[in-house]
Amino acid sequence: MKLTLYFTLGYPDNEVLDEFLEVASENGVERVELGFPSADPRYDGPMIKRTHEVAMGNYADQATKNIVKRLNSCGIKAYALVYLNSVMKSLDSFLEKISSFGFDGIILPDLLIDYFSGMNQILSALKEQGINIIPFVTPSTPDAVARYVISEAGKWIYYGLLPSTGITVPYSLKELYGRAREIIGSKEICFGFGLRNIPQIRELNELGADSIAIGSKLLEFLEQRNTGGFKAFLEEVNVARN
Amino acid sequence: MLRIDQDEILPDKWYNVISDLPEPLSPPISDSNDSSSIELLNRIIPAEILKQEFTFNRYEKIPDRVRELYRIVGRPTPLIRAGKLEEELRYKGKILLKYEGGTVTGSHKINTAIPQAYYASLEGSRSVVTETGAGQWGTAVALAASLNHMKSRIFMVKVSYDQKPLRKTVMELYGGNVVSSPSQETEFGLGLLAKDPKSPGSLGIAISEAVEYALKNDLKYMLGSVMNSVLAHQSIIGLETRKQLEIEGEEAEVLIGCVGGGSNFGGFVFPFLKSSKDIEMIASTASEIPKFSKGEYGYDFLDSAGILPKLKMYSLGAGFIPPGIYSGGLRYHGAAPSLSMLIRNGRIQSDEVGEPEVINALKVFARTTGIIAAPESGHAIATAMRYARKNPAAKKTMVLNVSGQGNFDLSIFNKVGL
Repeated sequence: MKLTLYFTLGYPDNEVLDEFLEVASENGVERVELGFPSADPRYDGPMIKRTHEVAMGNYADQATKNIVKRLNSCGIKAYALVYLNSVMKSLDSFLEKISSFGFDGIILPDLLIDYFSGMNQILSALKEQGINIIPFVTPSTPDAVARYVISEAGKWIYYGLLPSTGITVPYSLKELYGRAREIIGSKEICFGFGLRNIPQIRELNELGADSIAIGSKLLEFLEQRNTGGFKAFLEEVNVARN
Repeated sequence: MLRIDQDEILPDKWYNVISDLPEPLSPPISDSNDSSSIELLNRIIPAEILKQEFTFNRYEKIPDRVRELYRIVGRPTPLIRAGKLEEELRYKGKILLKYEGGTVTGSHKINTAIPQAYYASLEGSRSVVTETGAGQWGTAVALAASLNHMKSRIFMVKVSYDQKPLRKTVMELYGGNVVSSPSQETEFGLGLLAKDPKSPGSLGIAISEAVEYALKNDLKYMLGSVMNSVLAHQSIIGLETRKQLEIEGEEAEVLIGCVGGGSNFGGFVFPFLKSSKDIEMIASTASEIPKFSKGEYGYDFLDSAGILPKLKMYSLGAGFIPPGIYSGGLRYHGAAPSLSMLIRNGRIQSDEVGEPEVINALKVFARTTGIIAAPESGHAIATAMRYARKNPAAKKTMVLNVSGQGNFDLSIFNKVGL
């Protein structure tokens, strides 16, 4: 089972983020999702929302380019996570800018919910810049909509387990896994947005999941700048996913 | 009335429309930058209900015990041909009635009260709390709680509490404990009473009081409409109707129901959305509460105090105090997100009827069907009459959801005489 880690660009600051990414690259992480700070990260939970607030002041294009370059040189693929609401005003120039950064794809958590009527236009803007869309699908995405956006996608799909991160409503991984697989078919599914602990990672591995994404859970280490704790956590995750 | 094996009509699964919507449903959001209002649902709503609310299985198995209780309270409800009403209206098509007033509590509300109470009791709860407008929901909760060996506390909107004293007696007979809202039992109620001691209350206010009370006393809270899980439970109305039509060899061409929060209507029509035929669906609401024509489509609070999360829906504003019409169940500022979406994209039409026309429709209906329908259902009846009069030669089979009976609402006729 592949491992994707989520970080908000510029959080807690650029130096600490670099240190964490280095630990990640030394511990078998396959993919990194990098969140562009947004003033309204509405589908993230309270913890990730806070990182956006802090990161707004720290974000720099050059730092992002360096990060992606370094990740790619270690064989780690990098993906941009972007809230359309923060870039819609100048979407084309934003996409043109990041197309040269070296990302392998882009995740747009608000595309299907808030920009559904303009989706085709946004998908063609992405194609024009040669940026792959990684569809973000949740249990509330209607089947027909999910199937359409998946047909536009490359290799993998991001499946959010909850309507929003960081909230702890009950769910059954087994049911959600079955439902996701039924809609997505044989394409690779990355489960995230609500993974809370090691037993869940183990369960997904046993269910036969292709990959997982972890975000909120890393914040306790980032906040404390605790790279040692982060490394230990990754080792635990690696045992659970292999 | 159909007289066949009832077990064949009573479905074994509920249907949840979310997977079949044309667009994704916007998730509930908190007002502030934390998600405390979503988190608090964990404290007051049974885990199984929350799971159904957020993870959307297209079909959810109805637990055996719930099915058994459905039978005890009178499910399946009858599907009745209203031949005399057709004659009266000189309508060339058929008019069929799905009569939810045929349950023992007299409305569709029992359909979700039973599973919510069942899951609450399964998770160890000994008492539930809720609000009620006209009293149908409170009545259903009082009985569902007793059937599951629990107590219930019910905040009843003041205008209905004053208008319908017998409702209170019924709820108490079923084992419920009823309080007029705004009440002195919550901070929100006390605040409102300080500002306006004569406040008629509203469903939004009563929800806020019930939630506050549930949080303070560590009780499970039951919500009567709007939520996805509630509409899914109510799908039993449409699923039964579909089966009954199939057995009769009929096909629905027009579906009409009334909308307060949208649960009886959604439960009735959603199971027909995937039919091969393009069935007309008309949601009838009160012109005194014009949510679909004057309301805004956007995020708004479920309750007046803003304790619960915001949902994307048609709303007249969470602070809107509806006029004191008899159809207490329609006195609500918003409507279920899934229904709101389908009205906005034009799949479902809406109609608004004012109280005088409703009263007249109820009279005609009583004299041609024998059914004393609830005032809320009177809106659907009035809309059906408008449809029949406008299209007398349509020959379309119309199915009307009569969401409840109105034996406790007879004072509605005092205003105008019979």
